[in-house]
Amino acid sequence: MPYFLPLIFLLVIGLFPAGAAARASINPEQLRVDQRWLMLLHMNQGVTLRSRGQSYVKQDSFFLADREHWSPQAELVASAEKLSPAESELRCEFPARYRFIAEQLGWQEAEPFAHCEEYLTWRAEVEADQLTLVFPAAYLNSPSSMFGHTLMRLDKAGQASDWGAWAINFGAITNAEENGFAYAWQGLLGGYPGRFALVPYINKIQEYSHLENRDMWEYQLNLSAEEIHWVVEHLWELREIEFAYYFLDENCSLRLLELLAVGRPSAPLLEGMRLVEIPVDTVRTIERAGLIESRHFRPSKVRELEQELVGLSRAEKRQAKRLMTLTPEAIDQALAEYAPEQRHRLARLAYQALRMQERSRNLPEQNVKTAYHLLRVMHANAGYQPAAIAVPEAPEDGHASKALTLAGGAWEEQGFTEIGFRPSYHDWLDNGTGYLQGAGLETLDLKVRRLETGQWRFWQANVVAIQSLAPRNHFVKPWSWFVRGGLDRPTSSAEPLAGYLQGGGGMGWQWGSSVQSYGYLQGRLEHLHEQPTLVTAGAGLELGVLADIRGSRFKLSGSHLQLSNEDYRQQVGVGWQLPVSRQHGIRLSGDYLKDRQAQRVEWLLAWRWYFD
Amino acid sequence: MKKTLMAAALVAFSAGAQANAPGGPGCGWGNLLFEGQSGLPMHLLASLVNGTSGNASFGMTTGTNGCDTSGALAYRGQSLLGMNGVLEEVAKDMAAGDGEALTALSVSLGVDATDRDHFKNVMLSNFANIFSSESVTADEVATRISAVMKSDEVLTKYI
Repeated sequence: MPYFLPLIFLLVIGLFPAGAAARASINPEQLRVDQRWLMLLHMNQGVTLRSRGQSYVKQDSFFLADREHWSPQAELVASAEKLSPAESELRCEFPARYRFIAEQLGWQEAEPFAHCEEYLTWRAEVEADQLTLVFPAAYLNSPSSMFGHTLMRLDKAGQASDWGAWAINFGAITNAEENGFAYAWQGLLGGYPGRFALVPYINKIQEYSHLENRDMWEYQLNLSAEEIHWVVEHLWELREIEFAYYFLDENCSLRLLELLAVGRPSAPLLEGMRLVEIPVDTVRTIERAGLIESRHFRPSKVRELEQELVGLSRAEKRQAKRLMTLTPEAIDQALAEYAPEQRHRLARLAYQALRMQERSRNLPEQNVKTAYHLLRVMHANAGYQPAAIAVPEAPEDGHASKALTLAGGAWEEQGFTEIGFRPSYHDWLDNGTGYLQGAGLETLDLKVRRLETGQWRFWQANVVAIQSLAPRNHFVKPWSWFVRGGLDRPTSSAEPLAGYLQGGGGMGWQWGSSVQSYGYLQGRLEHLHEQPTLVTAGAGLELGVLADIRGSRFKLSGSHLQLSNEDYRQQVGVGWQLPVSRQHGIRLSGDYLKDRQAQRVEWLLAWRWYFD
Repeated sequence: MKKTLMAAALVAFSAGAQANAPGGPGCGWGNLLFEGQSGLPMHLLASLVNGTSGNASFGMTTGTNGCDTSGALAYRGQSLLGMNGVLEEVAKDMAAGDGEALTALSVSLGVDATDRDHFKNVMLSNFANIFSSESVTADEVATRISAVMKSDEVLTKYI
């Protein structure tokens, strides 16, 4: 509405004659909605499904224009009007908006926020020269963290320690009264409000690296001081703002991308539509947009411990493990035969292992004395410094999250072709670069087949499949487990289709650097299509071996399942995937199955293409 | 699977106890050097939404748990040594003479880069004095670090 703008202009001039002198040259038609303005308002420009064409923010206090006929343009005009007077309290709430308008209209005030004491105090506290994106990687035994998380850090130039830096975290504010199921459910469905928080980075290190044993990747960004200024000013505008938090799309990563887009609106950060925003894809987006300057790896406590094990003999590892339970006198005795450096190493290893145990459960008083004495031994034999930790392949260098599969195969004598699509993320055989070995997480794995008869068949749909193989060693004893559910064809005949839920737990072990073995006890519930029994239950076990052979992945597994209807299933599976390039792989797999009715063999040769 | 369910059941119970609660006198949390914690189950589920329980802090509201965060060791409004898990790291680094926690400690004390190695050496040689027993508290450690620095001719200027 063009006639509307001059009207506002007159209003502004009329109401605030004091500012009129400075603003004599204001032309309200200079007010232009651009990408930065849209980002300041958190407009969804078709990036996710909900709130398209609207702001993600629903709180009235975030908007200065009339909500009934609201538009980004109207908000801009109303903001210009309300932020114009020098004494405006709203300036203290919306410093980035003020600056945006001041730049467009050429307002030049030396100290526009002089009356905003609270804001200025905060602003001085979070002064930053550098912005770092932080990606805590997957945590093996927590399915919910397997996608990872992203946060940001505000750094000062040349800081010697980042413990005291501020971390910008977007997360859900949860209700402690709630029970666990409501918690998980609400997290997925947006039942919790999401908020930005500013906490010391050490808290985040403790949370991820110490408590959850997640490696952290830190990406220093090349945002200029000016661009960081925009980000920080806007962050202040969000301190009282609640977003809905959806686990899949409107999550931490999407919010951080918006924040970065406020700093550098020209960067291609929010292009295309997404159903899911996976943190590692966020890192890739930022890399593609040319924002990453350097990368730093912060190992988890478990990785530090594993590093300490390198180069120790089996006997030394056993000795270190023994130290964890000994009295001070017995420790001295046990270490008497070792050279000072070995003493220090073994004591350090035992101390770290003891600390790791205690992070997850309380230990008896006696261990306190042991841990303290181990420190005394370390101190008495000081001089050893641990070797630098080998940096693994970076997660963003791994294969893309989506996969399309074209395969040809044989079911007994019958040939078929198969097309598969999986929107996320990784299974045990997929190209391994950048992924945690032994961790698998797949959602909505769909397969259709064209049989020799020319018939198309919907073949399989795994809604979710999570697999965790966490190797046990002398010092850490995690459980391994898996769970999957959906539709599959579990019998020796191609019919029927079954709805199922299957899960199990067990143990895994590491052999050398590239072989892992595992054993699971498992249970299964299924409903077979057109069968009289509603639910058939089964129980059994699975044993298997995973290996990395010169970059290719190999798996051999065998399982037995006893069913409640007196049927049984015995299965042997073999799979091998050869990575052709980062985004392509060739997979050969075979599956033998025997049940009460018959047995069958299935072979498959597949080409797998990973893409964003 | 079972583990997840158990963790789920524990959330309501443990979410009330903040894992990163700052310590110090008057906090109600003990500060024993080797006190364990049981925050893991909560974290398993909290990681789903990267959530926090209660209010999100915004930089200015940290350290308001009724704790005394006085002294040069206050860190972003919290007591660095009082944070769960920090004291054990500092102890390890001090016993070895180097490490990330010791560097962070020196930064929080305002020690210049040029004096950092000296600081680490002084801490190493005074380890047994600073961590004099297994039941030492964060406050005692802080007091002794100050005393050691005060009696060192290079480090005395930082106290």
